Amino acid sequence: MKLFSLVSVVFIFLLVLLDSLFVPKRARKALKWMTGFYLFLLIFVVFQEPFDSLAKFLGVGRPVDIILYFSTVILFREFFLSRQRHYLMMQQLTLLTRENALNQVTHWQG
Amino acid sequence: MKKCAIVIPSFNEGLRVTKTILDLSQVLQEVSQEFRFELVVVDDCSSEPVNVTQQGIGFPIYILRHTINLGQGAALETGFAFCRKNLKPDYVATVDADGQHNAKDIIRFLRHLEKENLDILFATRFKKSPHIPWMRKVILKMASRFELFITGLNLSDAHNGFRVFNYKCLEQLKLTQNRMAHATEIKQIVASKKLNYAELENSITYSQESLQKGQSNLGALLILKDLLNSYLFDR
Repeated sequence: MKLFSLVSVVFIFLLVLLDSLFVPKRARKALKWMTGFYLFLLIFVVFQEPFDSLAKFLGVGRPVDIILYFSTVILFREFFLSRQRHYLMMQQLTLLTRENALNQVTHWQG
Repeated sequence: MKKCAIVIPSFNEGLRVTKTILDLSQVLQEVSQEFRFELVVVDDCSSEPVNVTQQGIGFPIYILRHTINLGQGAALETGFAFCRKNLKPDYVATVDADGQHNAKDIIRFLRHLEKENLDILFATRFKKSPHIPWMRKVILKMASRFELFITGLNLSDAHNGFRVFNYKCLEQLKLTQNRMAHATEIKQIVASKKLNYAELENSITYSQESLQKGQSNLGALLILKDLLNSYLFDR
């Protein structure tokens, strides 16, 4: 096992430990999925050789690059969608705030 | 007698907004035979709510308050929505709450709008305000070129908060830009609805406070970001 693989295993172990300590109970299901995702990544980091031929077939340098490229696309997509959700929520919040302001007008005769 | 609503968006202006209202009332009372003014102050969730209780202002004041801070564009649209729903004025003027606009300009602009039969009259500070900081001048010039490119309206002052328009225009101006990009959005609406427009010089008095509190020069980037967001995400 290369040093990087060892460091990765320790790092992922620490992440799982930290998550299990600080993630609230109601988010345990999400924690399970997160741990599963870490373990999935670990396969690519620790067992590089079996995936070398796949990486060569796809034309990328290392097996882990396959994950990195797909992750980049997925993260950008998620970022874009969350920006859109934020934008639409802000529009709805604006309408709500406006409705509230229009219903509570202070009138001063001057 | 024609009815004119003056919409003042305000955020954390404190006593300056009260002073602005008093200054406006002193000048506008001189033409009370010609126009009937009503004041709409939209407090955009200031930490100290706007409180105008002075006697002798001479015209009705309506104060609307946002429960969360949304931005100047949202505050203006709330004022416009109130005017459309309740006041139905012949004309609307928008002025900044910090007193940088001259009340006499409102009368001059209203008369010009009537005389020329315009829908909206934009203001430009480049003829009458000689003390504009040079950096601001450069950014505003660049912004007006950008607006010419996207709206086709050749106006010299991209983000002047002072403007006067009629009810026909008010009905069309339904702003969706919450923050400072509303100034560009107004021009986009004017262009798309083919409203009659013109530009007239107005004077702006910059104080140290208004320069500190007003838009920073980097605000231009935020405006671009807001315009891009609405282009990408508006349904």
